[in-house]
Amino acid sequence: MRFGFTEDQQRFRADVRKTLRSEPVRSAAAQATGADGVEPDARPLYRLLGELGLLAVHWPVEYGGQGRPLTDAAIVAEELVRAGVPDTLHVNTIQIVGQFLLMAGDAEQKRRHLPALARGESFASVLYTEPDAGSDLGALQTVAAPDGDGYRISGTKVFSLKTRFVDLGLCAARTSPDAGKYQGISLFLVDLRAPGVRVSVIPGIGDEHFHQIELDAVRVPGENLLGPRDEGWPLLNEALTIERTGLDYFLKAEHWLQAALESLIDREPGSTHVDYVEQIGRWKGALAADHALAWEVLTGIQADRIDPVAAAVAKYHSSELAQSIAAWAVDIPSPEQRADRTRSARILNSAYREAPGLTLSAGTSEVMLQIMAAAFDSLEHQEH
Amino acid sequence: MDLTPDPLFVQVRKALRTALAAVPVQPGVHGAPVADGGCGPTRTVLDELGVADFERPAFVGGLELGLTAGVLVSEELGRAACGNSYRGDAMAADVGCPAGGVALAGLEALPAGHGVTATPGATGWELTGTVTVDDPDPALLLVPVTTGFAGPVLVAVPRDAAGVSVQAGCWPPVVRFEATPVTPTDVVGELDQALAGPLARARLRQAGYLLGIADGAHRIAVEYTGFRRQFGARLRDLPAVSFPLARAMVALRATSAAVYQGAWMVDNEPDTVGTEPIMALALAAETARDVVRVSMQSCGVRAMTAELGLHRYFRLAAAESARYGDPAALWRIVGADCLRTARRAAAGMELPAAATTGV
Repeated sequence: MRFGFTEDQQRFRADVRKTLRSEPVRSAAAQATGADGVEPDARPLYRLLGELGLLAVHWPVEYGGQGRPLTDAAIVAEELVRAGVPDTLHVNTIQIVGQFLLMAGDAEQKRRHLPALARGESFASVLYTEPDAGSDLGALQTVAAPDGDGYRISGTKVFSLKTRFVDLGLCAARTSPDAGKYQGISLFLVDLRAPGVRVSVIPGIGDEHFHQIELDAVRVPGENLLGPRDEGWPLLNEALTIERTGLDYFLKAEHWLQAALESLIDREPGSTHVDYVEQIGRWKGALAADHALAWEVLTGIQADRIDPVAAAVAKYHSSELAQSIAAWAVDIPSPEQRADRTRSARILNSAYREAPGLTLSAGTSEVMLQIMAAAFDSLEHQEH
Repeated sequence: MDLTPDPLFVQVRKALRTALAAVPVQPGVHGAPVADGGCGPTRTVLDELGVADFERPAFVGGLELGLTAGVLVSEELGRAACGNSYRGDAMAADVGCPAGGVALAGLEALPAGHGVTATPGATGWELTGTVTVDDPDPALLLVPVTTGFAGPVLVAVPRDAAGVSVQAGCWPPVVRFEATPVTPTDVVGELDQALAGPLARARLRQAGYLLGIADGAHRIAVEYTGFRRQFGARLRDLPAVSFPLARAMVALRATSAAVYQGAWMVDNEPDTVGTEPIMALALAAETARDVVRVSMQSCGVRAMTAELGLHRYFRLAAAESARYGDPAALWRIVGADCLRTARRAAAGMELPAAATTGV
């Protein structure tokens, strides 16, 4: 067990940090950061990061990566957020869809899609949720009907982020509609520029808006089926577990606490902030624990040990923590700071509006608790 | 980072757990819930397993397993709801005192209180104060003392020194110092608030003990709610019961991560240790209180009787969560340090690239 980073990892982190502190990256990151409900196009920033080779360092070289371990990719993810890079495109494109392709895709699918994702030339999003299938994904109604050597997908997907900026959707659809709730589901890569796809914005309270995607008999070639036909449910669960490292939520929590401290120091530079220090201490302790929980999941994935309970614990802890920090910090900026629209005031305002989504996305907190509660039987068995 | 459990510690844990399960427990629901102290009923178990050698350096014949092993021992003692016969001797070893019958007293006054104060006396100081002690019949007391000149120092006081009286009629027991004379040679160490010194090590062992108390109570609650039926279902199948237990599991795992991270840092990167031991202790103290309370609630009124054994955890959680200082005061130390770090960063002083968390 090692809680620290190796010298190699520290050197790698320092190199990444130095690269991300360069003026072009800082400038592009600032332009990609939303505020007041305005969501800029972050793709120019990601193209720059792709040119720098930072988007998918853990992917094999043949697929556009550097062949480094997954844990190095986590180090990059940490440094991206600490450098002020808005991370949703990275999380969706690389950490979720790209990672899923890497695990479940065939060689041709990887060759065709991964290099462009790694270069920041192509972007992806997940298309799971439907108007009547939220946490209960087994209720999804989108259908993929056979059509020659491919399929035609029809249905409606909702509440995905960044979809109007992306090219590919990882879409769950029924290929055998009568097979049962959790059977007959397959996963596809859908070209979101294809005829029959209509993407519209659902305005939300955050700076990143939701989308509705109408799929009207969208033609999907057979080679875009990911994994075996009708066997999508276990793949879907594996994909969801990979999403739930908690690292992205930890990074938000850390970023928001940092902004709160910045605001406190800026508004009263000489103060000891006696009214705040106890709670700040608690957040700091919770963050340290949270970081270790995320890395426990990450090192498990790196070693091919995907533990859904550890992932549920990490996701629950990190998302609840980030949300709690956002709620606590929203009142910290002074009226003057708010009027001056200081950096910390903008971050904390945005955080408060983003935070409700954290305990909903990638599995609600209630679903996480259900996963843990269902594991009590097996944990009790291990005990004896 | 690589958080794969170390196979050696898995074996040590298993051996401890098996051996401690055979230790007889206090039967009653009143009086002391555990037999305290270095000579308590767990002493034989620990001696048979050679636990005293776990942390001891190799050059004096120990196994040099590090503080991590000491934390693990403490955790298993707590998990079995046993008194802690380990911490006194472990701290004695850290400060170079002979082990055997050593009791810690007055650590609850840390970090900012004045449990025992020293005033100048004929040959050194005279100690005055009344504080908690973790053994009703110690041979030697190690007690933090505020001298008024600097931070607290750790003083070794023989049980039979003048003015020392142990009150064993209450639990936890209490020791009174009434003009007890000590000399500068009785000072066995300084108690710095951070770094990887004896106080940090003691805090992490106590954090492990508290983690074990919480985990033991949770285990009983999960087991009981798995067969107790109400409304035609197992209690554990009712979300109103299972969700609080699941949240408690999250707290336990988070606390475990913080505690073992702190111990790992002391063992492997002592120069980088800051407030991690304080964070671990504060987190473990609050987790123990919260998880034991949830566990009691999940098990209903039987938790208040001797039937499930939960009452021992409940009593222990109260006494042990503040034994090494008020968690709120500990959090204030962490928060103040956090602000100082942020201030330095705002002034343009770059933080080390290896920092595990940026805040």
